Amino acid sequence: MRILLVEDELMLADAVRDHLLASGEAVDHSASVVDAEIMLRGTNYDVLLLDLNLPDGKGLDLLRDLRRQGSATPCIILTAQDQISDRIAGLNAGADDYLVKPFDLNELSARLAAVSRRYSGNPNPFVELQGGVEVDLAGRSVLRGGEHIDLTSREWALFDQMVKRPGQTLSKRQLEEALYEFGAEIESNTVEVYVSRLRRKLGRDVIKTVRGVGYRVEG
Amino acid sequence: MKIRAQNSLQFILTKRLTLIVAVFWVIGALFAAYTARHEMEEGADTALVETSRRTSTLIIDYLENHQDAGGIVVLPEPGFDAVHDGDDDEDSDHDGDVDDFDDFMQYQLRDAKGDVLLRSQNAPETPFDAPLEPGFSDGDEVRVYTSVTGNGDLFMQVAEPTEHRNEAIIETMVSQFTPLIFLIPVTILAVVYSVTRALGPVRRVRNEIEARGEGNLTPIAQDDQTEEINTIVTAVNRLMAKLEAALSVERSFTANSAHELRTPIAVALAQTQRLLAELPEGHAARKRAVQTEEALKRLSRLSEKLLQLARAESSGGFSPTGHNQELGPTLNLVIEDIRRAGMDGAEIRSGAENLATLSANIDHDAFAICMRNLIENALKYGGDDEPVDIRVVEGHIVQVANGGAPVSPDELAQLTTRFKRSSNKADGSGLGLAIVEAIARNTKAELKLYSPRPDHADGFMAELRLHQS
Repeated sequence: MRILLVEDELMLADAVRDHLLASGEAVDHSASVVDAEIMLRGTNYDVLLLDLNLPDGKGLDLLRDLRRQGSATPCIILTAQDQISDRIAGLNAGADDYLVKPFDLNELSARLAAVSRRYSGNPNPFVELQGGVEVDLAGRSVLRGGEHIDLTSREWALFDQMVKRPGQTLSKRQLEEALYEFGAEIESNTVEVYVSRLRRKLGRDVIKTVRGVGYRVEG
Repeated sequence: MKIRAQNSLQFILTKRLTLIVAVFWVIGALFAAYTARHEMEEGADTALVETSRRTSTLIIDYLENHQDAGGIVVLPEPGFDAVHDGDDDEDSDHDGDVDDFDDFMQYQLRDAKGDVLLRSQNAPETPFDAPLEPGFSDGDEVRVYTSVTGNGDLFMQVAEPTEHRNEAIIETMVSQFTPLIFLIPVTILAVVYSVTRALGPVRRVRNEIEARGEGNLTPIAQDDQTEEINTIVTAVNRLMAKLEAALSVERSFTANSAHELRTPIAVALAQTQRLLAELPEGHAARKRAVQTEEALKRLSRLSEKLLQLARAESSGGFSPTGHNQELGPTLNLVIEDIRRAGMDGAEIRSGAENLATLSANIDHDAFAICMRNLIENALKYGGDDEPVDIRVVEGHIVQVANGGAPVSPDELAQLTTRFKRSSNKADGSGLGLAIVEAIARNTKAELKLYSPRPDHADGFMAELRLHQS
């Protein structure tokens, strides 16, 4: 997933970004509303992690503007404001979830996964694919013929994008965005390399190539 | 018209005004009666003098014409007709009966020795009990005026019965006081009505002030108020604005404290968790990192509870409108939040329709803090095999019940004391029920604890009876 983290507390942002990167997510960080607006205009993010009190404005105003412009990017609010009225205001502004600081990083991952699944149209975390492959999106585990298959973070990030939308063809560009954090260099054949690795581990039939368009998995 | 308490302004004003008006009215009437009596006495005396002066010459003439018979000459009735006719009219209608005689004046003409020479029909044969001296004198039953007539050797005495004079005075008094018997109650009603009407603005302002509280500090409207009330309303509005500002500063301080405290804890916890994730298995520092993470989580929970307690004790917690508001959605949100956080413990069981009936005069945040603490308590101390039951009774009572071993009565009584934990488990902050108790106290709600829970041999139930208005 490609995630935009909007957080002005740099040490917290650093820890959250490292945690998500280690989980195979691509994370961009912004410490202000203005930077976040610029980044949101230029990139399609899968999830927005948004702090409310930012040095140049309110996170809720940013979210409202985003929703007014028709953006459906899932948003999780990360804030120290713990009152139920703050939570209601956040949800009314268009947030999908609300996590109060301090939070457990694993809980953040679980909430991210849940929100992402809801938006993929398939909230069920258990997905069965062709070739006897079973995927647990919440538990981040893959079984092939009952045997556990180990995937690296990058392999999981790519695979996760396709499994969330079974039957839907994802372009190479979409897969690249999910794979790398903002600003990282991308080789022209990186996606092909990871697809090839996944096919070796899961079987050739799991990921289909749609020539000139991209890749898809069949549920 | 309703007069409420005996110490109400309306009651005091009505009582005093009625009393003052009635007393002054009676005093005025008595004074008028005294004056009237005096004037009537004076008028009656003047009538005696006038009668004596006008009739004495004629009576002497009548005596001279009728003295031959000897004895006391009796003036036929009515005296004046007889005197004016100048002779005895045998065909007169008058039969000499005193009862028919409507002239109350009695006459006696006496000589210097005091013997009665002539008397009117209604006068006694014996001389009046009055000295033969010019002027007024009071006998037992008559008031007599004596004048010297003739050649100074005769005395003309005109008398009026005291009973007749008193009767006239009493009739005057009665006619003067009778209207008061009706007028005083009418005055009381008029005073009550006027005072009630006049105090209308005061009552309106009183009701407005009564409806105000920490939850409702909106200014009181100043339309159609009298000058005095306007001054009071202006002062009260100014005071409420100051109070609102002070409470706002206090709330803002608590909210800022929460933010300032939570963020560094969040940084420390996240960094520690990253450290833990990056340390290789078996590294000597892992144990310390795990302990630091645990300590930070505990610090996080404790700071949250302390901030909740500070909020609970610093602000009122009533609904911002000052009236009941729907709390079902808020309770659902709290339950959903706790479920999503994946807190250890049993399942939470609640009926959506049942929760939707909840409505009370309490702020959403204060209510959410109460419910979060009660549900977390139930999950923490309840048995894993029985669900936590959340029920709404009578639209304003929330019951949170859990299974598990019962709490002893002594321990139950201590549970709302700060930092007092149940002996069943010791990892709580010991503040949850104290927070709920503080909010309940500030919002006229009531927290009741039961163990074992009603109709069970075990478990625990917290009942929050919210205030409705």
